[in-house]
Amino acid sequence: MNDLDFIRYSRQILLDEVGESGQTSLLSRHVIVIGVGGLGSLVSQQLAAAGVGRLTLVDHDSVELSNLPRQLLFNESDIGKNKAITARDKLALAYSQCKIESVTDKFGQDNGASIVKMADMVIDCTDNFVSRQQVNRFCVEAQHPLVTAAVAHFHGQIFMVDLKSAPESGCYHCLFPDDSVVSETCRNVGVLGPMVGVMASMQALMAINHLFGIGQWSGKLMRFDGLNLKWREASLSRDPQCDVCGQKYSVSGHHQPSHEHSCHDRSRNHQSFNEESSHAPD
Amino acid sequence: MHPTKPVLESKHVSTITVSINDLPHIIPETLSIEELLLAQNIAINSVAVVCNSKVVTKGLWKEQACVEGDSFEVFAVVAGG
Repeated sequence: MNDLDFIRYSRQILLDEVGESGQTSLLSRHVIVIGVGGLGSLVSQQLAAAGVGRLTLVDHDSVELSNLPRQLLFNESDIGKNKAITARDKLALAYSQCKIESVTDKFGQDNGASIVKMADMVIDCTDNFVSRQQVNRFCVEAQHPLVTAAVAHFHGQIFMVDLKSAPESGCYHCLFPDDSVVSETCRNVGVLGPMVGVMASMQALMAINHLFGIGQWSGKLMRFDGLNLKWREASLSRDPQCDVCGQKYSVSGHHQPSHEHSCHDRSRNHQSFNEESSHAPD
Repeated sequence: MHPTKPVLESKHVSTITVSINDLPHIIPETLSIEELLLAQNIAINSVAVVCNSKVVTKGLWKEQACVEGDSFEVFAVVAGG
């Protein structure tokens, strides 16, 4: 680590849990942020600032006026511009040590596997349920850790999927099967900027802690009630019958590729990221 | 003379008290989680369930019975970002 980086990250290096070796390891990590809206723009900035070495930002959407109260990376002059490119350019100016790439294609069946497999970790910041299911499936397939967070109204939910280190905790589909009915999106029930900020900060902290290999929070679902400022915590459970992870992984995390086709086939039945996203561009 | 059992007693159903999202509910002791949700007019494909701080996956809702003192958290999936 050179002197400037040492100064830049000095407050992080001061942490006993991090140190210079931890900080140096962060510089070699590649994180993919899918969705660069409310959560994604904030998480991306936190990760780039913290010293993650490489980020890939995925979003096909453009900045809208209604995004500005919570997507603090963007301003009025960005309206109409692609979010992934705009975020990449702004973050690259501030955090030159971070190599940042943008993907403006629709995330979905055609490119999901290739995007996800590039990373050490995936952050789901998408704005719709169909995309969340897709991201989860690709991460389970690739056996890459996934930090998924969601927010709408005064409700926030966050947890990590990591079938390597916590197979007994299952995946996103174990908690929310894909036939679940979703009534709360930012578009139809509203959201406050600070609610998004709370969840995005938790998501970034969870990701960074995982990359550092510190903390004791794996296997927990955390829900935030922003009206009463109250967190609730529950142990996640794996569904042995889950058609994403249930038949593919033993408790030891062993991958059984003979079941891969069923997941691919099933996921083809879902809408792509952008088809759904067109209804909820936040 | 043998006393006749009141008809009401023969239909008596034992009850238990559980909490749902911090509110106490008195329910028949034989209810499964799925029956509990239906009794509360909660659409079972719209929520996830935590019982005593542990997620109960949907596949167990039919078979897992509610027990006195159970603390349930029932919540909808949030998908915004």
